[in-house]
Amino acid sequence: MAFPRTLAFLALATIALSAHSAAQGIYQTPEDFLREAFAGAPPEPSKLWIDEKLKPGIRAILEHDLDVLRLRYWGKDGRTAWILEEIGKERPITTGIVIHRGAIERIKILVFRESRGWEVRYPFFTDQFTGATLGTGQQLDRDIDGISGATLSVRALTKVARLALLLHAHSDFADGKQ
Amino acid sequence: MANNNSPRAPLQQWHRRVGMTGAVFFVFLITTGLLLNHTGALGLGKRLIQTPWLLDLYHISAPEPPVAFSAGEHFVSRLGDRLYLDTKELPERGEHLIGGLKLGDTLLIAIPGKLLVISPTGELIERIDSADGVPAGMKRIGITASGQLVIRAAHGDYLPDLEKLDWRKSATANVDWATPVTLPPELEEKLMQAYRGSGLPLERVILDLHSGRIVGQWGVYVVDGAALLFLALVITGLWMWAKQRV
Repeated sequence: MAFPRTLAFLALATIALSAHSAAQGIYQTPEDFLREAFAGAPPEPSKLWIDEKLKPGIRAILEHDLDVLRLRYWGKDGRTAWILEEIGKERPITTGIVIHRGAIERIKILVFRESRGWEVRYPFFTDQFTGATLGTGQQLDRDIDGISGATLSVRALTKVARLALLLHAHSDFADGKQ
Repeated sequence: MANNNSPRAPLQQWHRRVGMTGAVFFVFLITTGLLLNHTGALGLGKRLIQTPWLLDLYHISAPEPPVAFSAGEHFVSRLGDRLYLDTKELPERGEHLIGGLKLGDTLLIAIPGKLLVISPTGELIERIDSADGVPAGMKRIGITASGQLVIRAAHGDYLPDLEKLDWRKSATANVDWATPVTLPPELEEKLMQAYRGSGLPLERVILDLHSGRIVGQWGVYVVDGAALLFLALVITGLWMWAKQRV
């Protein structure tokens, strides 16, 4: 019968479209993330120059160079906050990361633009990074469990977590620099 | 020596003629095929064609006219969706160039939703976007007599402090707004050449030579003909070899 088939098709299309729209969005503005990270009073931004000493490490983590020479970050009392972007499959994922004394304190997806892999925004996934540090070979000191169907997003998020730890170590707020 | 009275003689003569006729094509197809087989190692995909007549053959032309702004002794321009500092292409695309100016030791370019801080040698120092507070609906950028940047956006004029990423709203008079300029003819010519010369890899040309498409549909038919000649040679060669054994 054509009518029930049409209804079923429309129902499936609605579910697919709503899942697609749920995937993309601004989950938190960078301003709000920074306000939350620094108890309502974010410090003035600092700048980190991507010099020749830092470039090889960045390239090893991202598998490409950063296309800018300078990054902004926010730092206070041994903590730094970074707003970083990395492409999952096709579009950049904007991530906020807070590092405290060389370990990840918090990681949050702020803007997700891909059509798949949005599950990486949920705490069940991001909580795995809490407390992670940079180990040998600039790898995280722990394994991060993947999510089936979100492999590229997981990979992108793991890369920015490692990058934030590396950048923190070169910031003015790294251990031993203050 | 071939015996002309043999029943195979006409076939041998035909085989020889086809072989001689097709030799040029075969060498050509083998050469281009070998090159295509090693595209990666030879870097054919990264080598860009700059030859004007070849670019004309592919109908690669620059969109006109370029939109340009003067920034100190440099020119910032947009051609298509590509952005340039003088003739150097910048690692950012934009469908609209709002303005460009010199700000201290650096150059500042405004495109929708973004400010690009560029070094005088054309390196992208920093990308400041809406996540950093760039006001929505940027229309113009300018500079005051004291060197303060001014941004005219949808909701008014801003006097931003790019060091602190502070976006103060303020009415300002006597602003030297960035306005489009005409590029010097020789720079425009170089820009057009740079634009045209960044879209045709050598791999594409060799692929089209191999398939014959470089001269259109007739070229494909000519290569088809060469392939059929090659097939005919194989069949006649095998036929004669089989007859010899009988």
